Amino acid sequence: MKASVVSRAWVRFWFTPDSARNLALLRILVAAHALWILRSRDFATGAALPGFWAGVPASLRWRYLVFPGGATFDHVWQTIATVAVVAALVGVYARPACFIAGVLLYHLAPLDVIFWSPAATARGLTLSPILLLILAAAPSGDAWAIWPRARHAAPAWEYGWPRRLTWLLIAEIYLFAAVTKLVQSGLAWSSADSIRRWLLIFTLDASWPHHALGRWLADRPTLCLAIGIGTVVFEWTFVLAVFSSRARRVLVPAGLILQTGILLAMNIQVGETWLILTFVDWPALASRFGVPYDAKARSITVAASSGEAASSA
Amino acid sequence: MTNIAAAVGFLGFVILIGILATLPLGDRRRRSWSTALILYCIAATVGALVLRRDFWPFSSWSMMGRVAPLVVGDSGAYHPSLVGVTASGVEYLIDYRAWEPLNVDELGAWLRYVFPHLPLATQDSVGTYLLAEANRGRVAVRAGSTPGSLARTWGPLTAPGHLVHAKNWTRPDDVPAAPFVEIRVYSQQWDIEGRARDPTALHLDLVYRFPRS
Repeated sequence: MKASVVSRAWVRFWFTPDSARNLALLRILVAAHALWILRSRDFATGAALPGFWAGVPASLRWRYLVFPGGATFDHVWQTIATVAVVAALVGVYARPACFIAGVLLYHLAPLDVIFWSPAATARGLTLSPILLLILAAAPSGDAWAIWPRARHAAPAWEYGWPRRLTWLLIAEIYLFAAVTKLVQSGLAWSSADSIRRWLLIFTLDASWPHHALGRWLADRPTLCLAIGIGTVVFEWTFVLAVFSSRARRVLVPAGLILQTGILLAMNIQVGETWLILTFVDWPALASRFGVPYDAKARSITVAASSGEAASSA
Repeated sequence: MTNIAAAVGFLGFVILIGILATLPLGDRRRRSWSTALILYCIAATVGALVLRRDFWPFSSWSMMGRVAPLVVGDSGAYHPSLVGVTASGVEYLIDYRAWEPLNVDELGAWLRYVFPHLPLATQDSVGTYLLAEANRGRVAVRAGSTPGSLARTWGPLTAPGHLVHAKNWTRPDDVPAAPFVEIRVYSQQWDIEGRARDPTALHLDLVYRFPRS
């Protein structure tokens, strides 16, 4: 009985039909984000620098398929990755393009860091390989694609689960960060003293561009405590945005404010968190500004959030 | 071991993607494989969290989990400082863009954790490179251009690194006309409350210079 309930809830959440346009929009957002980061780095040139790679263990090289003398090829891979991400963005052989881009970014993104660290977490491209590959597995080229020409596709379950899985993977950034804080520091992380010191560490030096907001906040213990508690509460609760459109309406703007605040007060940014824009209800936003989007997609999206869509589809 | 596990984990993910993307599956089997992929992603990411291992790109997202230290420079919060020195002995803080395509924070971490264990000859080949890059950036700024290469596509909208740095070299006068003849790497140490009261209250240790003499 219980297993059946869980199974039904699982199917209702993951496999509620959605619109091809919503999935295509996810493809465009993920590809645009990946292109922004990719063209803001030069992994291939970095991989060819003298001396830096002497301490990289063989197992790490194998993990990312990075080999001595491979730097020449990295320029080729970087160019192909750029072309593939652009193709995914505009919808030219979108699914193969997503696959090629995902695999190549898995190889390229760690080149920025693996001369001292095995993981490129928080450098902007952590989720991109996973999300692009998921978009390669899903029919993400069925709408807003140049070639093959997008066909008129009825809402189907194949268009829904990739978006929800993407949301879950993005929500894990915050949820896992909250768990880490609890495990490593307990409640002390949120204390006013700790937040004050974090703010000062990243604003006292001349090497930081933003000083005023961080120092202003650091001198106000009550605000520091509120920031500490508010951050942890936000991180623990953001996962609700995966399941509830009402939660999304509150938590997504809150997330954007938090990220902007951290950037201006502490000179820190986590490039992957800008993917929070995939949570925005773009159909609703479009209709608010009088832009026709896909009325049926919107009704399905909203219904799916409240668990009513299976029957309406 | 973590590297092998992470590589196998990603390979398994790619195989699942390949099955879903290429095999002609019926609706029921396609849904089953989709379920397998969803469960795989959840297991890989939660596994990274529980095991406290980063199976990148399946990450544990363990960021800034510690209480802030009292002193910068004796724990994880290490700020290296790289300066160029002219023949007259004047030190200039190098703009972070001069090190591009290297990210200055990755470079700093590498200088701290890996560099000291390298043979002297390798260290000095890196020193030669750093001195050349600092001078290349200096020449670009003197010529009215910007140092670095990563703003080639997006200009001011270029995605910053994890930490955002100030652009110290914005005018030709910000850099010397004479070339840098030496690169120095300092390790900073400062008491946070002490420096909040007095911005000059920091201790610098010279950890490397090139040329050495």
